[in-house]
Amino acid sequence: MSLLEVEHLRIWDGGSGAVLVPDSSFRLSQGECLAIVGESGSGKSLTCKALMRLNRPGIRQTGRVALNGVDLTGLSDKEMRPYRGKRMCMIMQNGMRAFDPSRPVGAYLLEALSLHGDWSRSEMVAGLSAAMMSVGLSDPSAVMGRYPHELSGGMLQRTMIALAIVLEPDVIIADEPTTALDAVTQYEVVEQFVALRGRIGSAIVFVSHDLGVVRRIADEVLVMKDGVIVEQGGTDAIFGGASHPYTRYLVSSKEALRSRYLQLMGGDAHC
Amino acid sequence: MGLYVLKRVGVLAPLLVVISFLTFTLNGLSPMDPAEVVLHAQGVPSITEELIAATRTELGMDRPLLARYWDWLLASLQLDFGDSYITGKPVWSLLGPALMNTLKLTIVSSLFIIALSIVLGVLCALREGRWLDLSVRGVSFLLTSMPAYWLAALMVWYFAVKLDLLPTSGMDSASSYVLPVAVIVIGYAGIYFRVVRSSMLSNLNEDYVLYGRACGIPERRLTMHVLRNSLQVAVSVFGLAIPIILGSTVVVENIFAWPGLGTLTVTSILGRDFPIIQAYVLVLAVAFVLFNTGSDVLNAAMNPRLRKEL
Amino acid sequence: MKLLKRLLKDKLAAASLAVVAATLLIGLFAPLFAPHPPNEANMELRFAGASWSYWLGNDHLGRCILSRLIYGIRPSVLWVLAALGAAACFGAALGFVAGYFRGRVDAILMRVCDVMLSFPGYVMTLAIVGMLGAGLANILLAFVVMKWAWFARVIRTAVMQYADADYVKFAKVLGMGHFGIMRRHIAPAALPEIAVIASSAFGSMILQISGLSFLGLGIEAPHAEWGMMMNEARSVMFTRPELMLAPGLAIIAVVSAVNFLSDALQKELDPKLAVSGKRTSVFAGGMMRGLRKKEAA
Repeated sequence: MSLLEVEHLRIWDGGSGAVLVPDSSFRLSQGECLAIVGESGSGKSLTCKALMRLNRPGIRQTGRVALNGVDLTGLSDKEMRPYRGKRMCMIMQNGMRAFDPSRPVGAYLLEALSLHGDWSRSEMVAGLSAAMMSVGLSDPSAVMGRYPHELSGGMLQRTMIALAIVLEPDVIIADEPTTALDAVTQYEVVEQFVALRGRIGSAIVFVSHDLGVVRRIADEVLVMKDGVIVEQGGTDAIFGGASHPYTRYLVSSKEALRSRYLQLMGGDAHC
Repeated sequence: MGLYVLKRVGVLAPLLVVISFLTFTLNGLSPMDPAEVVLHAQGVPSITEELIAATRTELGMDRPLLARYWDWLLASLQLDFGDSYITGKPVWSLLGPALMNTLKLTIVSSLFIIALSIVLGVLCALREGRWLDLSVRGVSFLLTSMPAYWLAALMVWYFAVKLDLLPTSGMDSASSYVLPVAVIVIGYAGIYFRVVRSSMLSNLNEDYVLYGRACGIPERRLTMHVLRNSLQVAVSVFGLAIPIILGSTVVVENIFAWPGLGTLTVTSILGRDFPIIQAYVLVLAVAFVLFNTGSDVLNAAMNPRLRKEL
Repeated sequence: MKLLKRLLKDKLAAASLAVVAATLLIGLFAPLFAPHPPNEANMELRFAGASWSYWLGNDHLGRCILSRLIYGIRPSVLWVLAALGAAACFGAALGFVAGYFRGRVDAILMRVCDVMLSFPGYVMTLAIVGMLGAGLANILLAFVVMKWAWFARVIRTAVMQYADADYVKFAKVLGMGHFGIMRRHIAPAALPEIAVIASSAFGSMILQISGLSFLGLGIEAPHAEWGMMMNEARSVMFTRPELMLAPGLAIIAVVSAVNFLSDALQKELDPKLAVSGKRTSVFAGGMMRGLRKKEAA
């Protein structure tokens, strides 16, 4: 049995009745990284949020989302809460807005941690500091004392990853974590994710529209267009020779750019 | 933080000087010669040129502008605004008590407004789109489109005449506060409650709420955090509420015969009692600027991001 | 005009627009609409109730209330609109200049605006009315003086945002003159902002002018004006409360419509205020009116 099983997930807008995601099914095994690829508006974020039932109240969903066999869609909000954070963790796109602007980052992290375990405050701080150092934040206490607007996007992303490391969830859902970052930071954060896989053995659902990043990190790829999964398969298969024309279009556009770039730079380089 | 306060206060001083100067020169706006005005106000029957000139010299109006301004400024700082043209009594003896009365009305009203706005704003934001929200918004919308005196008249008619419950004029007892405060609160709570509500709603839609939920933080805690963030906006608006209400009581005071600033000012305007008008403008402008600064400082204390701007 | 179409989709907004437009028209062409001369006193008809020839009855001097109501649109609504327009033009012109040319011009203008905005609106109004005397003209003058700084400030901000846009730089490169650029590129972009601010001030100004008239500081008798009509009705309020009704309801209707329209406009122009999307409601924009009061005051 897979770690995460999604069967016939259907998402629609309760107000207008418009169907956003008609029917999605996929699986995720322990330690695997699944990338969801697609343009803006293809339903990637909705699907992610649906996994943790975090869509706003107007959005409704049906279908089976099973974590280790337990169907999450049947749980009440109260029962769902222990899952969020501890079993399933989310890393958001815009670090600056993910944290409460009126409180230092550290206060927020400690609050989140305190809900999921019986650690003492010093234990939590120690655990967080270790995690933050391991993701490349060299001065954890300074970072924890700062307000979100005083830190850069990359640092905030790493902080979120650090929190995930401490929480050790079964599934990490990363919703376009690198999109809001500059190229250099992007690279570093992606490296963090790759390292993450080795460290805590979580499965990762990685949403992105950047195929280069996907290629680096993912085992399986899900291609979505207009809410529908048009293709899914192993990374090499998708990038090598995909069956659906849309996927081929995505891959080839990216490839064309890459070839051109390599041509200009004069040589072969693996990214 | 301290730096910000210093900066703000630093800007304040020159501003106050300019305001005071403008207020002083306000006299010059009048098409009538101030000396003539004095004579008119005192009801002197025949005003001749010599009389005007004599009054001028007597009141020191023929001295250079800056000299007069300086004297006036110094005197004003000691609350000596000159004497009323009409009654001849020192301005402050009339303005002071009136100000106190209006302040009492304003502060009581403001407290109720703030409380009501927060309660209604939070409730409506949390139950957005539902019956409570829609009905409160609809009613408040109508109420803010209503002229205060009309509402006041209605209430006077109903409570005082029909039911004979509450006093409708004067400032005699605690119960005489009820109707004026009610009118003011009804008029203003509508505006401020929407501020609170919108602020809460926009905060509820923010990503940090989503992230908080995703980390498993319970709804109630999240609501508290949202409330704290929303109130920052609200406080900055409330900060200015007091001076605004302070001035807007003019009409309400008139209807309820409240012996306050509004009544005094209207009488002074009708009687062209310039010193009182001048003092009124100065006191209120200064109060306004002070409240503005205070509210900005409070805001910066609560929201660290604002400290960078000036 | 696309804006207008979008606006009209909301039925309530369309209704408010109709009310406001109707009011303006009726006021403009008052002699055509009013059944009787507004100042014609008929003592034998004092306090008469509604009748066929006098639809809303007569006031304490026997004058036709309906006609007075109609003629009252002029000072209460039309003149306010004119004053608002003047303040907007004046303020916008200065704001344009400040935002476009920046530098010292901007700095000086902004200091002036700061000072002007330090005086609360009503204080300014009362001061001017106090110095110059009561009367409609002085009140309108006070309104213009009170509001221009606000317009100037906001327009300046809007212009500064747009003046940095690439297409403006492009136009400059092409050799377009300053005035041309302002007119063709920046004005259309800033216009919606102006409209929103102006409309949000409109409602409160109507209330203010009628309030001032109510206190006796406004238009002189025997002219018709809604606030003054209520003042006159005040003395007989306990015996004939119905006299307060007509002008009061008129004000409520017009101000509500104006405010509603303003909120709808604002909602259209700033989709961020669209809240939770369950139902496109126009109320949400109203908060900005309150906040702008903070800006203005």
